[in-house]
Amino acid sequence: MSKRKFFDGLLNGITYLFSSLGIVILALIFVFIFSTGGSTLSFDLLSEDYYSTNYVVRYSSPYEGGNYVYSPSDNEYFSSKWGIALEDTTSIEGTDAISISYIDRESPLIDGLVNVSNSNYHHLEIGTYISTLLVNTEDGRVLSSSVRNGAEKMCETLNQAQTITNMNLSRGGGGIKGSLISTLYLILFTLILLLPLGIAAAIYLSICAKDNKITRALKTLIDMSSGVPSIIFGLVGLLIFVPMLNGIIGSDGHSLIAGALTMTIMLLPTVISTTKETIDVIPKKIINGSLALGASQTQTTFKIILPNAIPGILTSTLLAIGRIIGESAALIFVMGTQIQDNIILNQGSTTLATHIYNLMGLENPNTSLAAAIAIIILIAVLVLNILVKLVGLYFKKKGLK
Amino acid sequence: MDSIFSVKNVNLYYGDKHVLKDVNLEIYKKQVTAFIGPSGCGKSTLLRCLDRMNDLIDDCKVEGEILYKGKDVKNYDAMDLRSSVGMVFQTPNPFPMSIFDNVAYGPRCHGIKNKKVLKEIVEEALKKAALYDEVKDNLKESGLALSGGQQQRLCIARCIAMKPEVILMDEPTSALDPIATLKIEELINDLKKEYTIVIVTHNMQQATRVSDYTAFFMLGEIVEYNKTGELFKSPKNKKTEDYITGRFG
Repeated sequence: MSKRKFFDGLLNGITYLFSSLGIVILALIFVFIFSTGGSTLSFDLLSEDYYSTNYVVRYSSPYEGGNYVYSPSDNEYFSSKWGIALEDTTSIEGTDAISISYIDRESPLIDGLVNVSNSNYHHLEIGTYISTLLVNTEDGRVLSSSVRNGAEKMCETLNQAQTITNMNLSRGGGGIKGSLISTLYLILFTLILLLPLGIAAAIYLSICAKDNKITRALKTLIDMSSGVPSIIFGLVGLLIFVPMLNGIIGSDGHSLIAGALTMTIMLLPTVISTTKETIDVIPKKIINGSLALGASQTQTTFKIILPNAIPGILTSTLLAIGRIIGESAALIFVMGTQIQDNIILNQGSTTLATHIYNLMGLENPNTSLAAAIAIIILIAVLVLNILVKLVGLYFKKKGLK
Repeated sequence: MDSIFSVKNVNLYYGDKHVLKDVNLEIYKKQVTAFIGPSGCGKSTLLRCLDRMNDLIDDCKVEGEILYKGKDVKNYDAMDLRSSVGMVFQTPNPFPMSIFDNVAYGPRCHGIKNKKVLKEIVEEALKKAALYDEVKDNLKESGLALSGGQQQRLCIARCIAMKPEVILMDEPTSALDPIATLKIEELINDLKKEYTIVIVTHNMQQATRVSDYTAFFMLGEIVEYNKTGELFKSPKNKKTEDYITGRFG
């Protein structure tokens, strides 16, 4: 008796231990991702281009210096000579940067800088980042400073300058707008292709097809193909869709449309089987009731079967959207890993997931931005799953059958 | 008396199974004909032959002739045949839509779009099915919200909306309580003034209550077919007598 109690206790203990371990690991992953990426996540991140606009400018006429007044805050440094305040900050994507936080209206820099590439005057704006600075002093020395030295050093360098030989400026950049739009486009085009194909196939399999060996073999095949790893679909896309589309829409290698086609065949089995399952549980007596009223099979399909299959179709759509957002392996093959700001359908681009892949493959992986995107993906998937549950609940309440 | 259906030498097979054996039967206009017999004797199968619902079963083969108004049902378009020969099923099967849409479903499928016309058809059908007074204020509610007996009358209304000549009923009260059953039986008595009704039933009292003619089926054959009163009072066949007196089946 006591022996049995001992073993029961032991087994229960092991179960509790392992289950709590699993939950703790999951929680830690969430904590890690949110703590790494949380600070980077902002609205600007979503709305800004990935690539910044860069300018190289100079100020070549010797400058005597003025005496501008400004009271800088804690992390600001003010050059009274040039009338400009610099600030240590982080860019949208979470890297260190020096930005211009204040320019005096009388400052020579506001309209006096000359763009090196086209010799036009450059209008300097607040919020511009300065990455490197190269100046000449009155006594002919050459000084330089960059982001790595911080705003204070940069400001000192400016104060000693008589002419600015070279200043690298950049505006914007670091956002994921392009990848976000690309993801939305991919979802849209995939669904446009996927839903008609999937629903039609489901209707064929559960209503039109005769129940014979071929149909059963087809059903088994479809069920099996939902388990095929996505990278294999990516390979198929790369070998079939990419060359095909090069010929048809004149794309050059990777393209968003190829991505949509690949996602379509990857998700077809899921959509077919989910839709088929909902069609199969529609009571036969309702379908027969429609036919017995002299409605044709087609009318029955569109007026009785399809409306009743909507919960299943919605569920599979939401699940498909989740898979598209999270997919990376297949998309790397067919859409490439080149981040784009302007999404063109017959060119490659990154989705949110492959944006992360790109970031982590850089020389200096930007983990905080990667984690920020991961948060967006997690939230999207979470919302989709909640929606699936809500759809289920809503239709359960309405009560078919 | 005019017959509307003439079933001549009908044999029916489900795969290898011989379900109806050489069945001959006349169904008379504006009369109620009851099919009785033990389970699996083929009475529902014959009923489904009359509006060709057996077409929907994959390996079903029908031999012989079934004449509807002098023309073999095989030569009708199945959809035309079914709009003229309606069917009410064993368990109520309203569509998951509003009461109005349920009744308007058939006419809509046959191309009637005019809202006013549809409204008239629906009201008339519901009145004939003795359901109108109970549902007239909530025609927009789901047909599924009705009670079982109301649902079955809704199904009958749905049938009537097609302006059929024949209504086939496959054990229409087997899923209903006695009060709902009584209402349906009263309804059948009303409806027979306008429609020919064929009803399959397990309940012999029901057959005596509602029908003018009764056919007794056993093992796929019609053992006896006669006016209901005579069949129950003085059955000519020993098997019929055994069945209706409850000695077997």
